[in-house]
Amino acid sequence: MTSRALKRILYVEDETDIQTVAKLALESVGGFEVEICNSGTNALKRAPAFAPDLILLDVMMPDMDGPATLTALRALPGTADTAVIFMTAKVQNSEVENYKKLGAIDVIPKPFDPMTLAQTVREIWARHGDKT
Amino acid sequence: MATRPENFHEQLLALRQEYIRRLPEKLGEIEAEWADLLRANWDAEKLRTVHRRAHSLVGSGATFGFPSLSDSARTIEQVLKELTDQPRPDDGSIENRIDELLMELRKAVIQASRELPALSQEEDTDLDVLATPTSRTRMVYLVEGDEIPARDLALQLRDFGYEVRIFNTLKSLREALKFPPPNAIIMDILMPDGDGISALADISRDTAEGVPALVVTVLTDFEARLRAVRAGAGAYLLKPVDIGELVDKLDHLTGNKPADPFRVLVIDDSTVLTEYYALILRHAGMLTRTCQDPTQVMTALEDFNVDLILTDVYMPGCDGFELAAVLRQQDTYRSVPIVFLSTEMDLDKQLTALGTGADEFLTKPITPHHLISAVTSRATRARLLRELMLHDSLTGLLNHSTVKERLVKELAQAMRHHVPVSLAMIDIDHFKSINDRYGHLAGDRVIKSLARLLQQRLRQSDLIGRYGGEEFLILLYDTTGQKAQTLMDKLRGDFSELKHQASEELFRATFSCGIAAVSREIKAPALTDIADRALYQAKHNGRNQVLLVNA
Repeated sequence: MTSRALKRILYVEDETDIQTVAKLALESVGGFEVEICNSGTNALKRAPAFAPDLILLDVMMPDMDGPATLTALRALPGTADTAVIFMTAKVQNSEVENYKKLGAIDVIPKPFDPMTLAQTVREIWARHGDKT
Repeated sequence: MATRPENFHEQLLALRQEYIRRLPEKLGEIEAEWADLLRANWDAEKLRTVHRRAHSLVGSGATFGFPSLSDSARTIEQVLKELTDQPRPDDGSIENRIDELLMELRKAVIQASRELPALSQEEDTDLDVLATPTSRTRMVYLVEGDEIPARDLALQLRDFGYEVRIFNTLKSLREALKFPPPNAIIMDILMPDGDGISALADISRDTAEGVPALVVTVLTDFEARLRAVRAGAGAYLLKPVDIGELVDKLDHLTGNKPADPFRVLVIDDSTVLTEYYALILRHAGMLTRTCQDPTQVMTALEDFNVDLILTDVYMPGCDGFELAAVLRQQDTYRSVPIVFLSTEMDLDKQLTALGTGADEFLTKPITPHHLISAVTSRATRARLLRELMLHDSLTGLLNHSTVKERLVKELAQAMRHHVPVSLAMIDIDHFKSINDRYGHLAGDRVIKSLARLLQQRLRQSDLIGRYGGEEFLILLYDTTGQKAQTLMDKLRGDFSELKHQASEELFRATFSCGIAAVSREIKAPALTDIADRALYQAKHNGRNQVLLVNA
């Protein structure tokens, strides 16, 4: 993974309220190009064509949850090593570590603040780039 | 790609308001699912559903600026999480705990709802609904494949006091119907994942009491109509749907207007018999008064507002025929149905009875069932007739002469009790051009939809009448001029948003309104005159506005 500009974000989230506010926050404030998927299955279908730089993945979703979606994404050639951030309401340190072990670069706690979401994503992306 | 910051704030605010608006519904879902979980004997799948709902509120609440909402939801989530895969504790402690937490959540939702822009009088009502869920909101499920027309229709129905949930697939509807049913379902036939009529047939088979349903479709063939009838649909409307007609049917199907019990006077010289008949009718939900002496009938009728008189034929002092004739000589009782009850089997005598003004002849002994159905059908028709006499046939509002008469009475009463009242006069703008351009039928629909809006949004105690062709008169009881202005202006705004159907297109209409706020002793004609002049001024100032004048 080389450090490059963050442009395209795929956001996987089943909750419509969060979808709209996240899309608005990331597009309007962050200037990113955002694609929303309302389920893990949907993400698997759309990710290859959209070719995101980063995937934001909600942890708790019906049917296919965040970790399961991550595993499946890793099996696709286009997203085998795309950076992934989990979004979750659980923020205990031990859990964050577990999510990182699954291959996420970080965890953003929910509920997030729409004003600062884009900035948080940028900071994580910068840290991630420094490490590689 | 980045937009200007002020634009972002605006959009964020709009999303937030939309979120607040839907909060009561979300709360209702959690409460319904919780109740369902208790009924379903702690079903693991249902427990997960409630858990997921709470979880989703945790995630969205603080994002939209309501941390306390997230906090309450989080506690619920944690309690439920600990219960997953555990047997249900049998001491009732969990039920109490969750009920308490739901109450906290409800408070947080009410708190959030207060941030919506004030809706004048309705605001309190909305909060009342929240305070006692399931009580007064009428929930309609709108099942429609096309998202945009569905949203448009939902918005309009909300203006008429219906809460609307949209379903774009039959599958999602079936999911929702596992929970307490709505007050009505509006069903499109051609759904992306199946046939709407078959779905209705399934629903009416699967639910114990059935859900009132109506079909909205582009299909005009007889076969579709027949299938809809067989599936139990209460109405069949063609697209593009006329909102007035739709609301009419919905009101009817959801029993929006609670029926006033029938009032029956029972006359028979035998105390035992009058009591017996009265008892049967009371069991059928009617109000009764009894009278054993036909010469005392006028006293018995006082202040009773009678719907029907049930009388014996052979009585000492005055027989049934004479009694009918006496009553028919008085204007007030000219149209009240009189039903004779007697052992008389002679057809000629029965015909004589009918000739003197009786409406029906029932033979004793009579079964309770027969008595109830005869009284009900007569009284229903009589009420309908009276409605027609007092009400305007197009809108169902009080007609010109009735509203004028009632205005005099209610104004006098308000003065006596020193209650503030305001008189509003409404006139639809450019109504003649609407008729010329879109035709009289379209014009009638505009009048009807305004009438509906007034009926739905004003209170039972307010007097609403159709004063002239496109002119309406409203007496707002216990309402100051300021309040009346806020209220009427909100109605004005909402009415201007309604879309009316013409043969080829949709169009909008507006109205102007003049309000006379009563601040001194004044007679009805003078007050009406002041409201009329305020209306004229509002028209003169450019229409589509409300003008308040002190009288």
